[in-house]
Amino acid sequence: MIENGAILEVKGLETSFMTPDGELPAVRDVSFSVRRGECLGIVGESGSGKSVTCLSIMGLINAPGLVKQGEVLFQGKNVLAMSHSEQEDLRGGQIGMVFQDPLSSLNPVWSIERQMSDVITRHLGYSRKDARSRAIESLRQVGVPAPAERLKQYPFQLSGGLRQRVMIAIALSCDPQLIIADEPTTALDVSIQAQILDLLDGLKREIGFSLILVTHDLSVVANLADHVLVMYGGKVMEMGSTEKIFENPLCPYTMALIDSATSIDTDRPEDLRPIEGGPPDPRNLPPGCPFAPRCPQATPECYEKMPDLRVEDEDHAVACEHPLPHTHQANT
Amino acid sequence: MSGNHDGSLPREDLLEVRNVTKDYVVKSRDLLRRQTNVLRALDDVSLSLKAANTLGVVGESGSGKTTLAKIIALLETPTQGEVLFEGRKITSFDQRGVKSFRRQVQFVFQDPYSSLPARMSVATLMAEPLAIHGIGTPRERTEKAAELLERVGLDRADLSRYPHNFSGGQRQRISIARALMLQPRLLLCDEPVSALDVSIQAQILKLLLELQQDFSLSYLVISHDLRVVRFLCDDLAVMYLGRIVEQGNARSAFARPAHPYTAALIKSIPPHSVVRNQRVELSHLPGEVPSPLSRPSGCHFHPRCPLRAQLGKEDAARCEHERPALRPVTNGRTSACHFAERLLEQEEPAQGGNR
Repeated sequence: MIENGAILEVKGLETSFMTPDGELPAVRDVSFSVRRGECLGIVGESGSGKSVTCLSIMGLINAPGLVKQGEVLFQGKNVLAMSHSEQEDLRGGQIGMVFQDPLSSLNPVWSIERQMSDVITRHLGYSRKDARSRAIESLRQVGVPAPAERLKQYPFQLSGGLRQRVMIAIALSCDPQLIIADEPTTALDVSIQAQILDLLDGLKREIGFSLILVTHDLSVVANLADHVLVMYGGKVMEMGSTEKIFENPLCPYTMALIDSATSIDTDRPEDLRPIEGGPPDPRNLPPGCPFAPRCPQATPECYEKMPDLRVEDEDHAVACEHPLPHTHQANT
Repeated sequence: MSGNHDGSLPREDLLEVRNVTKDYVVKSRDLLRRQTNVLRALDDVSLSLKAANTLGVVGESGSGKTTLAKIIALLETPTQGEVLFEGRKITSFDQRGVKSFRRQVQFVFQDPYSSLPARMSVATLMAEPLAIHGIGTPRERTEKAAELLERVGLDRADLSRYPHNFSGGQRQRISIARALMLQPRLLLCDEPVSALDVSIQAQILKLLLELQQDFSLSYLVISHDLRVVRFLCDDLAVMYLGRIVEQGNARSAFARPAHPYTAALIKSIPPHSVVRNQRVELSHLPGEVPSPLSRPSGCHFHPRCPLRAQLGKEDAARCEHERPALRPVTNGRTSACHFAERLLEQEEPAQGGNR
């Protein structure tokens, strides 16, 4: 599924953490690509490796973490082979980042103006005055009311939703080609989550950047993403167009994720279908499929060997010994 | 007035919040340099919870739900009004009364990472409530802890481990088990699943429902997520800027909301299905919640209200100038909206979630 016109290509990424308990693999042979102007949703529970994947892409893995193998081609150049300063130029500039908790991503003792100018002058080389204008423009773009007033404020004076808008404005201010948003709405109230998702989608259409949206919440992805990557235990379990993933999930894990999310909306408690058990312990990963212990379809072969990602259909691939039947509909 | 200990309870109110108002005096200036003095966090709030029933309080930031929880937990006192437990005012409890109240009302908090003491083993932190109340021998306490741990889906071997050894979902299970050690009548859950992955939310919600039935517990669930309240609760109260704006049966409110804010919250829930080639706009509520220090006039919701945008000039002016009373509107529900009937007429059953 490597595309022409891909702005990002990740090939065979492997990242582990070296601890006194041994090596903990967090990302295991992950490959995918992101086309220009599209949104890729990376979905997985905590511990699936989705965040470590993003950190690896941006060159943010430090000891005890280690990117053992793989290439991350951004516009054709391998980020992992770049020098530190080249990576720093890229991060916050061509590749913008929006993280989950703006209160810990924003510097609490710097005014909004200072945080934004700092980034803008660093990446675009603007003068202080021009950086300020650019900051106001970005804040306006993300719908922050009275942007000039906001510049003087500090993060603690803003609501959660506004802080997240500021984070997005910072990412936007340097004309990124790609924005990586890791759980951008998780800490927010439901109505504000909706606003932020609408905002990201609108900006993407207007400006044309590519977006990687990392989340544990499938419903966020259903509405926004063109393609979806499902991760579990550090591995890619399924990937494809959003439509195919939702209407025809092939991997039992994807199916179970969809079920457990949608069944919360039920009127009847007996319909609630959580996935029993918990995510695998990275210290004790089974040799085969990481989902085997919790999978209703698992056979002995599943425990022994992790199948390769196989293309089952146009724009739809799965890594499973027993993929669900093609016509299978999610129980919505 | 109080319930019988053999479980044959009359259907009285277990917990009653009566006309509670809570003001905070604030000595600060707002953005535009006007001095503002009083923050009204709760404004004439009344609700009641019967034994073995479940009530959800839905609200986002600034709604006052946390203040309400604190008042019920005896961490704050109301400026006006009162809270009654089993018919008695909780603010008039003496030390013995408070201790008895604490036995009967326990809490499960939002953040599984900060709500368990980090330096205590699971065995110690679970036995602690019994130890504080002088109940049982150490061995009996440990046995009870083991039983409850198993009941919530963990292992008795986990007793010797520490909170940091567990995932968020597992810690939440420990919090729930600990809350049950004293065999309370009421569990107050403040955002019990918000900090968890969606897939784990389903597990914890299922557990909470089972426990409620097994132990005949009452629940007061506070959440900004309507789906959680709908799943767990018989009744709900929706709060906005310190006031209750809708109250009544949870399922009916979800199917046919009687207040525009409730309706907007329901519509904000992202749908689970993919609409072919079409981006569904999620947000139905412009702007942010205003600061409780400067609540809008008349109906506090009026500047953001989607229904008001559809009204004629005269009606819209009423929203701005006249505070709506919380009044009965349909099948046992109340709503604080001048035009609730118009809203109800307009609606088909709401398209929340995956319908």
